[in-house]
Amino acid sequence: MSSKENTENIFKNQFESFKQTPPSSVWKKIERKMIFKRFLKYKPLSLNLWNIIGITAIITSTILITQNTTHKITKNLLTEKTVKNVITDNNIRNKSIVITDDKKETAEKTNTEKKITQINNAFNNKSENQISDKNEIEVISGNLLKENYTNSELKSNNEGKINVKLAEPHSEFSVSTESACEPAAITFLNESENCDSFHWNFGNGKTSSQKNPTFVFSTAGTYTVTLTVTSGSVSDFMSKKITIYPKPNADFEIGNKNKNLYNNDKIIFLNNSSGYSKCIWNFGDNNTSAYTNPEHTYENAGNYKVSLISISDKRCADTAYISNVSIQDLKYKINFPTAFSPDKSGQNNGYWKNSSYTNTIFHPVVNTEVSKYRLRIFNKYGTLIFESTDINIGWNGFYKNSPASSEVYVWECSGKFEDGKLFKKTGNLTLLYLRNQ
Amino acid sequence: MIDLHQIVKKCKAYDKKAQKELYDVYSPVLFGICLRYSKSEAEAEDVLQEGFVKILTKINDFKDIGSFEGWMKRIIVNTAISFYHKNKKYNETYDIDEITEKNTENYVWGNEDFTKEELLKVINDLPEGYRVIFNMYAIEGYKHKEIAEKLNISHNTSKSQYLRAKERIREKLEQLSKIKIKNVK
Repeated sequence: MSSKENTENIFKNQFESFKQTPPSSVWKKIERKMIFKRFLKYKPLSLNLWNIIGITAIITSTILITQNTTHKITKNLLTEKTVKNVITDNNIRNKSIVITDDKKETAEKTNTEKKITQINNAFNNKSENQISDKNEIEVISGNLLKENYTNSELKSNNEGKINVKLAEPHSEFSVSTESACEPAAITFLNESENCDSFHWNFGNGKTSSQKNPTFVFSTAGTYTVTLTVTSGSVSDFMSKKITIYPKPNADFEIGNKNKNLYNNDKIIFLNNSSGYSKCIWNFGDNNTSAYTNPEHTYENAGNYKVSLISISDKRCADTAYISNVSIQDLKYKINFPTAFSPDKSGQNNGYWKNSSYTNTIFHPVVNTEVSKYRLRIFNKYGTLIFESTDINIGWNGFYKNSPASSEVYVWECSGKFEDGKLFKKTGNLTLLYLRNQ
Repeated sequence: MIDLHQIVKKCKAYDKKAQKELYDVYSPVLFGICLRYSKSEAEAEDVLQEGFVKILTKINDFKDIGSFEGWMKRIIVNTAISFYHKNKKYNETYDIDEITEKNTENYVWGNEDFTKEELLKVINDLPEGYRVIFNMYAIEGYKHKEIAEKLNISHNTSKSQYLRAKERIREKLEQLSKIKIKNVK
């Protein structure tokens, strides 16, 4: 079972037959509302006129006595009516309805409004004595059935004043992303309601009071970001977990880095990255590879920018470059052996042109004709023991007309190719005599 | 044994005793629904009160077809939705493309892992929109199309909000189970 279904099932199983007995006050409110609804079911003209007149008479007389007003409430008032306030009081079982006429002329209207204020005042005075904190005031305006406020929104306190209960602050925010790679700039979008101040704690000792802050997490880890919102003295908070994954470290080298590289050479790239699970090589010649240590052969000479992207299992990436991998044209390639074993015959004074590569004469192998050439060989004391300015004449292993000793020599070779390109190379070579000689 | 048919018949004639009887039998179930759709018990009481008044006043519209209990539940859910519309302060829409289902931590919970109270708290603490959509889809079994119509949102919004709600719930449950494991230790 996937966790997706799991979440739903837990709730479905638990709540399908969920029962909870509501507090008894709810039925009382329903009962009261039903009585009121039944009362309204009558058409205006069939209203129990005696009741209305009776109630009106009480109100009017109260006003007349307390305010000394001589305003009359006419009978047609009853047909075109808007009920403004209904105060239900269980203790005194007394319904008081204030009825005013919307269609009166302006002068009278002003008068009426004045009166309403007076009536309201009268009620407030009355309320102070009679309404305990258990009583609710239901304010009903306009369409009676549709726009009545719920009791949780309007409550009366024991002073008889109507207090609109402030909605509680609700902390809520969304993040640009809940997981990211270091360093990560994460934007927090505040979706809180009913609050006047914000306090962000990013879980690493850093805080902010901005509304929608952006914070840079520079090191990997799991951070619990908390937004505390406050409205007056009430506060609410919400936390979210932000996971910052470590970045891998990309690094590589070229396996044959000490050599000159030519096209058609097999070049080995060594991956020295850490913290990665996948890599992508780009050899700079439109070729790529996903091997860890790939081999690559360039078709053409040139300078190439080689890049390696190392990617962690959390898809965090790092890139390493070698921006100047120089691949030379194969035609300029000069090959020198690192060892040779001359025979002691003198070998035609070292002339090797077109001979087979038996490796008895030390000489370079070139792919292009050279127009200028000089090869010098030194022994370990720095003494020049051989020099040639003809590429066709190599060292036959003789020094001062006798075979040179078996040891390591240093060579230096410079010159110019046919097309004018200069070259200069150095290296060492080991002279070895085969045992059967 | 209660004769529901008889009670309903009497309720249609506004019989006060029958109304009380109906309330006594069904208010716990209906209140259970209200609690799921509300952020607090006080709000749930308001929903129940308004919804039950609707049931009593519209009982003559019920034509004895289908389940009466189902009809009452629908009215309660609709009342809760109307509360949601009333409470709605802002209307945010998310694109479905933004949402990817994360399956990195596949916790699988058993039915006994959490108490009703704990689960209810998780639902109550959800933002208004998430809570309504989650209830409608996961528990009442509405289709996203119906939810979209009732809440006046797009089909995709319903889907994406639902995924977000579920993601949020899963986070909370993970937190809860971690706390529980700690406490056991």
